[in-house]
Amino acid sequence: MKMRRNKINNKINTGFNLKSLKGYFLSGMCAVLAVLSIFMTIESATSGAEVSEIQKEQALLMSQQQDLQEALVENLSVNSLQEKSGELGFTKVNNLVYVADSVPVARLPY
Amino acid sequence: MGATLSQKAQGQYNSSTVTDAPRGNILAPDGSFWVLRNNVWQITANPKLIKDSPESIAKKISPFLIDDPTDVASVSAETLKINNLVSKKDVSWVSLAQKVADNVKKNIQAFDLPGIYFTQQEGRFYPEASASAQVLGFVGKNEDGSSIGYFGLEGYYNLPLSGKPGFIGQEKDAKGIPILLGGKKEVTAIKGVDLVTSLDKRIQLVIERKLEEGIAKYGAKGGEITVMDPYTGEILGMAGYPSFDPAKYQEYGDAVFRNPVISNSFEPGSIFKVLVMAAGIDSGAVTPDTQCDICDGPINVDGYQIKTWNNEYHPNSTMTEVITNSDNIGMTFVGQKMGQEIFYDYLQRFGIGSLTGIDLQGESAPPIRKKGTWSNVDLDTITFGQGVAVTGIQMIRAVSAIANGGYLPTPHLVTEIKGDGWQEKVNHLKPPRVISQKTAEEITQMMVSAANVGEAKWTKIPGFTVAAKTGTAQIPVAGHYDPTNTNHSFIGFVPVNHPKFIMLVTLQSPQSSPWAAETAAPLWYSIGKELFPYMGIQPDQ
Repeated sequence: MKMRRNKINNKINTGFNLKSLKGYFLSGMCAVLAVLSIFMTIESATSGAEVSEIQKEQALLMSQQQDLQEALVENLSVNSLQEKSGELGFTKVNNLVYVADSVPVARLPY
Repeated sequence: MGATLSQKAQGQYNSSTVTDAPRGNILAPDGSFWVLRNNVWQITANPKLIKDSPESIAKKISPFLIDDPTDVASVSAETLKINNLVSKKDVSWVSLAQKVADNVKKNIQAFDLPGIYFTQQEGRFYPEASASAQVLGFVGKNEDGSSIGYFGLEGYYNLPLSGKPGFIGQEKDAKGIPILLGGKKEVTAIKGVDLVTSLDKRIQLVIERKLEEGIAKYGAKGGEITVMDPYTGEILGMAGYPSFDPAKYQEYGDAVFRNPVISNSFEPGSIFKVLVMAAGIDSGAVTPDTQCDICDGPINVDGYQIKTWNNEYHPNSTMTEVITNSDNIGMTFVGQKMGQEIFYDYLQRFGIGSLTGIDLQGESAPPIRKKGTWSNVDLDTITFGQGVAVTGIQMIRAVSAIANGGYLPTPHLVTEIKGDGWQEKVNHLKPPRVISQKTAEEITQMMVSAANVGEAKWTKIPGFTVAAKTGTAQIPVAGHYDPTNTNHSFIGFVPVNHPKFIMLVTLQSPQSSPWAAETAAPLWYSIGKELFPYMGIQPDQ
């Protein structure tokens, strides 16, 4: 009789332990998920700000690239090169002399 | 109530942005830029949020918004304008300036003026300034305020140059920072394509400079020059005068936007004779050695008397001599031998009366009189280029068929289209044959003879064989010919055995001489003198 009562008590104790274990586990999981969720929210908010910063930086770099390209194109324009070559003392050839293959001397222009 | 609030909340955190599709650039064959897309800015103000006085703001900004800050009158006028705009305290938005350059924006931004804002706009930068303006066209606004290309390449290729704008729909927080966990919808913007053209910068700048000099020298009202590859139809240079600056197109009248080479028609005069002679020889009506048996004096047709340009007559001239002497009577002989039917068919074959199909907006094609409605005098006058109207591009295209051995090319400028990471050559239809190789060679020899011993022989460049023809044409005014003014043309190609270019020079009403041999011809040769070494054309004599 006594043995049977002990067995029942043991069963009750084990059941109680299992329930509390599950409870602890679920609470723990919830706590971890809550923390993770908060962490993710903070992380994503920070990343959003980072993305925003990167987008701004990208826009700035593209604008600077555009400015540099424009400056380069302006400086390499034929009009600009002609002006600079004139300033540097280059002049256009007026009288070209063509040398024929069969004639060993330069032929003067007419 | 709840739904309304939810909608308002969504409106606050949902952000939607239209992403611009940058307009494509226009390039020269060497990869340099004719037109480069650039960033410009619109300066706006909210007069309600301005802290400084309107006068102070106007004084700070205005010197940056005019071309010459040392021009006191312009600065004062601009200051007054800005002051008036910024003083409007009853409005929340006024536009102070459009399409302001990046450096100007940075200078104004440095003042850190509250209530002054900058909005990015798309601009076009022209590194060669006003060069080739009528070929490039310009970008303006349509009635909705959207950018649109007008005239030239900008107009013809507006759609591919424009691209397609994109869209980004995203959730953002109160500070405007994107919420990554929120939904995002994105349609990527498609950039407009870049156009690679055959328009050579060196050739273009030479012909523009020479045209301006020629107009001043010969006292012409205007003029046009076209340089083309007669085999491919690629336009190497095309200039019209008067022209405009595409960056400041608003300051010009509509008349200068039209490219005269493709839009303006004129009676070609004697340069047309080479086409008529080609038709006569190709149809078998005459040969180069056929003798003209009516060339001993003026002829009377339908009550009109037809004479030669110098009233000199050459009995029994051969057809080569007819072209060399630019003999009107000899040409009527060719026309009469061919007859109206054959002549008309050849004009059509040469593309006279039809659009050439050039890839520029604004091409026109003056019609030719309908078949069967020509009188005898119509037939006779058209044989020497009077009573028929052409555009410069029709004329150079038709004579190209003589230069290239008989094929009629389609003139064009764009040779390649480039996108992000891809490029594609533009294919054109194989040009149809319009005259035989033999006819083309015979007419070429006649043109060589015309250049060597014709009335323009004094101006030729020694050592170089050129096939060319002058044209002096009367100008029709209200159904009659102008008794005092003439149009002058000179068309030629070189080297004659395999031409690298064909060039047409036309001057409107030059005052220094009544003959093209003394105006358009020397202008052609002066350009040739610069183009020959550049294009690697060597003397052959």
